[in-house]
Order: sequence, then C-alpha cells, then structure tokens
Amino acid sequence: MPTDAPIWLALVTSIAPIVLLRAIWRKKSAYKFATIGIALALFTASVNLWAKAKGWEFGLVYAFAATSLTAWIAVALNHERKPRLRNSSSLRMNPKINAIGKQSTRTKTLPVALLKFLMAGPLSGLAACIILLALGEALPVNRVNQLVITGIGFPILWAAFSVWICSRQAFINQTLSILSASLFSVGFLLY
Amino acid sequence: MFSNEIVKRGLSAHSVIGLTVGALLYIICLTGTLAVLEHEIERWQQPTIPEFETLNAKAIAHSSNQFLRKTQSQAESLYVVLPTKELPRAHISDVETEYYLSEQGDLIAPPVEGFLHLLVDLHVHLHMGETVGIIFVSCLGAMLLALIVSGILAHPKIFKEAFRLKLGGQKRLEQVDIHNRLSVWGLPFHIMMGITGAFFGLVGIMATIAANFYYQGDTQALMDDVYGADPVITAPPTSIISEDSVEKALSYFSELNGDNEQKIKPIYFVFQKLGAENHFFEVAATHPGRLIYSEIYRFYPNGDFMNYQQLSDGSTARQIAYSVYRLHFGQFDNPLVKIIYIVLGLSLTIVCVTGINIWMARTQQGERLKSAWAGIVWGTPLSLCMCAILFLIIEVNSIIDFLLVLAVNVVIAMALNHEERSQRTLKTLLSASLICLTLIHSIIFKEVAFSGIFALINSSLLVTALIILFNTHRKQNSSLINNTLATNNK
Repeated sequence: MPTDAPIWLALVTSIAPIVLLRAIWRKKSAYKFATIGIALALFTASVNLWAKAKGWEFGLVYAFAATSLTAWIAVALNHERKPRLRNSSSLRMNPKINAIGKQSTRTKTLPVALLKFLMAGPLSGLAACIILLALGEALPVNRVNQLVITGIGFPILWAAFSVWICSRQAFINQTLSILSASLFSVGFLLY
Repeated sequence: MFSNEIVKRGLSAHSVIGLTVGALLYIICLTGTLAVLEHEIERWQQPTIPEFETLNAKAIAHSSNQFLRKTQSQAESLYVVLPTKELPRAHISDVETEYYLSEQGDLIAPPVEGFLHLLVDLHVHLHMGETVGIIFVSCLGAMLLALIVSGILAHPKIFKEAFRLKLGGQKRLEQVDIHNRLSVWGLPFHIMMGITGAFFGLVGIMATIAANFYYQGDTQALMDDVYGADPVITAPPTSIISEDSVEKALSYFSELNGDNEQKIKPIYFVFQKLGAENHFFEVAATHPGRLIYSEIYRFYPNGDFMNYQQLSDGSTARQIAYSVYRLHFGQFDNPLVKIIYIVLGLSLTIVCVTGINIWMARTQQGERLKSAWAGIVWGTPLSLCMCAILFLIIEVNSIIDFLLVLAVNVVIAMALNHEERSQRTLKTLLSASLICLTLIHSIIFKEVAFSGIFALINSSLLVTALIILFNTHRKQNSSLINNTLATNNK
C-alpha cells in the first residue's frame, strides 16, 4: 500500500459526507435520515482515517478543515447569479426582520447602553471566570487540569453570558442572576 | 430549528455585539490571516540574510560566546534559535538585543523591526501595549465566540439554506448568503480561533484570580504548576559556553531519534542564568505529530541530560495549554496547513465584513457611512501595503504611519460618498500599491527577488493585485450593463 494511501482515503471520506448532504439538500435522495446517518458515519470514519494518517492532533484539524473546504466548494458550485437590483425601494425586505434589526441596534439612552456594555463585557467576563473556577473546584481532576479547563471554558461562558444579556432590551434579571451566581461562587471558593 | 422568539433574541444580540466589535475583529482577522505567513514575511523583508538548514555545535557555542563578548549581556537567558525548514536562518537573542547568524556562528546583522513587527503587533495587541493589548484582543476572541453562539441562534434555516448561494440580486440577500455559508461551514475553525485567541490573554487574568484563591496570590507558583518550574541545581559559575557541552546535548537527540523516520528536532537553545551557580541550559525540540510548541529538554552545564519539562507527556492540561500557539497560528506539519489556515482565516475576515454589510443594508444606512466602512475594509490592506512600501524605501514603519494612511483612506472613501465608487477606488489603489511593492522589492533586492521563496511571494503579490483589479473592473462592467438594462426596461 502506498504511504500516502490513508491520506487519500481520509480525503475521500471527508468529501463524501458533503456530497451526500448536498444530495439530500437538492432532494435527490429518497432516504433522508438514512443518508444523514451514512454521512455522519463517513465523517466519523474520515476523522479516524485522518488521525491514522497524521496522528490525532493534526488529524482532527485536517478532518474539520477538509469538511469546511469541501462544503464551500459545494456551495460555490451551487451558486446562482442574478443581475444586481440597484433601486433600494424595490428591495424585498422582510418587515419583521428589518424591525428587529433596527430595534436591536437602537439604544434608549446612553447610560443604558453603557451599562449593557459593562455588563455584557467586563463584568460578565469576571463573573464567568469566578463561576468557572468554582465549577472547576468540583471537577474530579487535579488542580492543574482544573485550571486549564477553566481557562478554556472561560471565553465560552463569557460569550454565553454576553449573548444572554445582549439579547434582551431589559437585562436586569440576567444581570442579577449572573451577579448572584458569581457572588455564590466567591463564597464557595473562599469557604 | 429555533422558536421565533429565540431567533429574534439571537439576532438582536448578534447585531449589538457585531456592531460593537465588528471593525476591530475585521482588522484582527485580516492581520491574523497574513500573520500565518510570518516566517515567509520575515525572510522577504530581509532577503539578504544567509539561509541554511543546520547549525552545528561549534557555531552555536561560537555565536553565544561572541554575543556575550560583544553585548556584555547580563540577561538571565540567552536564546540561540536554530534554522528550520520553515525559517532557514539562525538568530541569537537575550530578548533586548538580537542578531542573525552565519552558518559558522558569526553575528551578521540585527533583525529589523519592520513590516512584520507592525503586522504581528496589530494582530496580537493592536499596538495598545503588550499586557493591555493582549487582554483586549483576547476579549475580542471571547466576543467572536459570542457572535458564533448568537449567530447560530439567529439562523432559523441553517439546514434549509446549507448550500444556497445567490449572487447578484438584492445586495442584502447576497451578503446574507455569503455570511451564512462561510460562517456555518467554517464553524469548527471559527470556534477554535475564538477559544485559542481568547486563551492567550485571558489566561493571565484567570491566573491572577485563581492565584488569589489557591496560591496566596503567587501567580508564578500557579504558572510553574501548569507549565513546569525551573530546576534547582548547583554548578561552578561560568560565562563561557563550551562546544563540547552543546555537542553532547545534540548527540542526546541523535540517540533519542535512533532510526525513527520522524524525528524530534531541536529548534532552540536557551542558556539559563549564565554566570550564576545555578546555570544550566535547555533545548526546545518539536515532536512529530504533536501540536505542543516544543518539549523542553534540560542539560547540566557539561552537557549531561538532566530531565525534560513533560510538556509532551505530562498532565493533559499542560499539553493542551502548550498546544494553543501552533493550533492558533497554523504552524505545524507542512506548508499546506498554512494555505488551509489562510483560506479559513480569509473566510472569517469576509464574515466580519459581510456581517456589517448586512446591517448596513437592512437598516438602510446612508452612503456616507457605507463609504466609511468601505474605507476601513479596503483601506486596511491598502495601509498595510503602503507601510510595507515605506519600510522597503526608508526603513520606517510605525503604527502612526498605518493609522495615518488608514485615516486618509477612510476620508477619501467618505469624500466620494458612494459605496461602490469608494470600493472601486480603494481596490484599484490597493492593486497599484501591491504592484509597486513587488517592483520596489525586486529593484532593491534584485539579486534575490526572483529566486526561491522570494519569487513565490512576489509573484503571489502580483497575482493578488491582478485578481483584485480584474474583479473590480468586471464588477464595474457588469453594473454598467445592469444600469443600461434597467434604463432600457423603463
């Protein structure tokens, strides 16, 4: 077997799920759920094959990158081109979505906007860090592993808090919940 | 997939966060994409430095002793960075002073803080100062994750539109399609970039907070636990690095590798605490198939092996923490990874731009604001290019130049007061400046500009310029045709 055969096999199994998904999407496959199942199985196989060819660490990166790049190629192949509509009044705007867009970026007052920024930004970041340190303390792993898990989870929890706060016009309940959770966490960490 | 209420809230959060950080994220993504090529840019901006792929023990010892004599350095650590396939040039540094080395270990010339410095610092800390800047940029990494989460919530037809791409037609719908297709299919990469990008700066904040709870405020003790502490040894003090000890250390790696096809490769030496009783030296070496930046092997001053830091086989946490750099910057395996990272990085950059474009179209913003945004989008690469030209001609390069050129670009775009015209003008200027950059580089370094990697970089710059130029004028022609058709229909 040639030395680069596993790489080619991995590449083919990365491309195949996208081809199958595209077929379902274009309604060419009658067995929708079965096809999705096969696509998932192929993707799992591709991860394993990439790992075999390149080791787990590089293999995971290659598997996901190959899937992304194949999907973009499939999207590009599927593109439709129309002449550009220039007149803005002729735009087929969805009034509901348009209203959300305008509403979401409209702030009632500057202090409220600043408060939201502070809460969704630095304060929820700090809260995320403290809450994760407290959660990490409960994990059945050693201190070093706890710290690194906290370090990786920190931006994810911060992101979730920011989305939670920014998704509401009135964010007092979210603010109070996050602050209470972080105070509770400080208490837990201290005692 | 989600209820209307969730979609509405997701969209609301996505818009608020996107508008707050979109422009900065764009600059970080663009510079990050270019920074993937940091080794190539380093070679390109100083192409006359001698290149080779190995540095022997004699040259390492000679360069270190020569450096210490010349600089009278009292620094705690002296680094000798060995040539690699990606960056086939050696250099020596005590952090304050740095020199490139010849194959024999002679000090050749100091590296210039040129265009690469501007680019990397823009990406890593937006020139806001190292500590504040890296924390700020890391916060933007967390906000990128927030955008990803809210983007998924705001996307009700994630499967239904999985492969749809309608170009032309309404600009908003076109931008939505580009934004969604790139972001949905690039999701694993974008999440990884957000997490690893946030990790660099936020780990410092987290360490400070955690140290207060677990280490009585001693952050260094925490870092030592995570990354491993320095060894405590006693040896007669010396400020001379012997060729024998370096040779002994290098032969340790030859024994370690044996007949293995994939080898553990030393990438740099660090002579620690020179002149003190507890001096020793370390050799960082890459492990095949691993994302860890390196394993650190420690040696006694006489070259006998002491131990290694267990970055490759210590706790999982330590291995993960030490793998973040290569994973974020795509510096592993082969050059293909760099190309993949550039494509994926460009996709994230385009997602940032189309996100703001969608908001502009949806809220029907005026031409002035749209033009200003076009000024930032096309003015940023143009400013980077102008800075590279300035560096080549007068060896001046600072963030002030970059900001000044960017400001001028934005002003030009706003003065034109027409989004498409602004884009067209700046894209044409960008193409012209890329061509100028290639020409200037070729004239200044005519002996090497068309050989090896330099020829590849210069031709890539030319091709990029031509693609942008072609794309700009094709779009201009198609808009003219559309306008004519629209007039005839009326």
